[in-house]
Amino acid sequence: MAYRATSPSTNVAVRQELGEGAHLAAFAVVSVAVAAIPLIISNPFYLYVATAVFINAIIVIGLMLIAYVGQLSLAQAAFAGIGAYTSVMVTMSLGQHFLVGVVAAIVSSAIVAVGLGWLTLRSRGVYFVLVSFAFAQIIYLALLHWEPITGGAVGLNGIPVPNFFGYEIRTGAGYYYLALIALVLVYFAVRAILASPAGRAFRSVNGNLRLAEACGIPTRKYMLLAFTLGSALAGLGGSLQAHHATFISPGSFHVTVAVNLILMLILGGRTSLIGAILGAAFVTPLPEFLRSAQEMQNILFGVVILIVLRFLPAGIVSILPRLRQLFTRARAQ
Amino acid sequence: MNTTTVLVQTLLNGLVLGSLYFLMAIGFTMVFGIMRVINFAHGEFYMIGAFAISFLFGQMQIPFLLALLIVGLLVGLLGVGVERLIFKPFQGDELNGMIASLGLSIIAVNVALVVFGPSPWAVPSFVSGVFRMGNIVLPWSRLVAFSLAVIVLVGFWFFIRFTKYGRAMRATVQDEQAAKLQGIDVNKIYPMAFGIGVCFAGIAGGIMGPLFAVDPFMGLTPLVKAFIVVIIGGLGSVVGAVVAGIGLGLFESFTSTFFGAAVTDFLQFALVIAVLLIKPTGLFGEIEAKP
Repeated sequence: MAYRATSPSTNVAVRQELGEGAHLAAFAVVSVAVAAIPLIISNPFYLYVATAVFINAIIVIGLMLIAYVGQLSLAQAAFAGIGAYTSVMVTMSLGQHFLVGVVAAIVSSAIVAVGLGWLTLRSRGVYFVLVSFAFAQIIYLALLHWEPITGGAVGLNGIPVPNFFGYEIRTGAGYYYLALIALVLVYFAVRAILASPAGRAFRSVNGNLRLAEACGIPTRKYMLLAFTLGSALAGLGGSLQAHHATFISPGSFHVTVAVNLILMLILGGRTSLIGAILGAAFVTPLPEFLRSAQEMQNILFGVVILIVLRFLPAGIVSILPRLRQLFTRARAQ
Repeated sequence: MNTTTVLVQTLLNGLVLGSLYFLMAIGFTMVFGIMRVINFAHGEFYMIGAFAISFLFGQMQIPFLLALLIVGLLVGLLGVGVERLIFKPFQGDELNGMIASLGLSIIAVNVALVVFGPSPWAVPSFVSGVFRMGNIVLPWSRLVAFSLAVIVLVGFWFFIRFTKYGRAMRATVQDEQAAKLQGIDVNKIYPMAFGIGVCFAGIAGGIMGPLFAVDPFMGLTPLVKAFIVVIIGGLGSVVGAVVAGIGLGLFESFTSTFFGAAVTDFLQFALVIAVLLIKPTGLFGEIEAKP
């Protein structure tokens, strides 16, 4: 599978991209630029879309963790749904604080993921795709039909916005920073995990399952760990999404949404943290802008996916080291 | 309405649904068995078949059977082209092939939205009237739809059983390396299998389109059903697709008549999870998940 063929090179790409000090400067510039956006742009719509990018990036990073052990999950949106509805219930019905809701979202989606993963991670490849698809449909139907709790097809509105020490995060800029902080925390946490022995075990599972097993690595345990962590990130993203939009309905967590998340991952680069963020940044704004010409733009989107798959199988992120190469070569001359 | 009437009508509805499901699932499972591609765009070929029949039969007034033949041919040829153009580079690469089909699906739905518009098209029924026997009243259109599906199935069975290419396809499903050693050219078999597979989806759309509404998003539900059928029947198994297709149709028809649609949805996905846990390769499946 190409998974195997592409992942080592992307790992190298990630290391090259982030390891050396020279690039910390570039990283700092990007960070400052991102942090300064709300000071320059005050259009609430743009800030809303930018916030959605951060939240999607968190969910796609979760998907990337699962892809790291060689699995593709169509249940990522469903786990975001579990997180979103749990968080809304905890804050609305039980009157708890936003942060309690976020923690409940992470915990609930992690628990469901442990159960599902325990039962189904025996299957791999396309079989796991089908299992996760069936699960995603069940969650969607549950959200749709369990009306007393979920509000059915209409959904739930009037979700409370986060409130810290009496200050409500109501403005676009406020939530922008909240989501940005969450993304940065997730980014460094996942980076630490991937650099740890567990991360190495994940790569070995993806690289060669049998060999990893023969080396005494408990492959199922690591697959379960990656799946649980990845799904928990979906729960976190779902919770942030719910309190951002202040409205949720089952449609936001349908399997077609999961397909979009997969496309973000593939476009960005399937085993790269930066790639996951880039993918979210490229795809999320598409349906939000140019609503009038949505079909044409979706067609273009589909074509871009085919082209990236064919000619850039490691995603947009694999352009970065190439660009750098060109740059250093140009400087040498 | 007495009990017998309800039972017979539920049975017929189940068979019509079941025939739609197996027509969808056969192509889907064949494409997977031979090319190892989970084709997320399979439902889009169903949608294309339905629009083609509403144009040829509904607007051009070409006789229904002739129109259906043309639809099958057109969709099949389209499939051959799509296979060469889009799937060929991903041979032997399950996950990238699947993702390519996702891209293809997005393109097809949106092209249909641009060309045909979002609102449903109405297609005239190909036969009118009802068949009466005592208290039992059955619409002819459903009886004919079911019969056509069975005819297509029997034709396919003959093809796969007795022709040279049918044998080559079965050989490729069983063991691609061994098939290649016997001189089977996968560059011929792949486009042919994909063409035939999606041709069934197109014919299913052509037969069923007039019974339901025709719109660009209509492919999603049959795709989901094809998924369920092949999971239960076994990915790559044609027999499994037929048995599980009819089974699912009957199951859906009876449970929704007696317990309601919501219960049916839950039950079938619970069934899917149960099958995956007990026998992950499905009832008739033999292809193992590659590690």
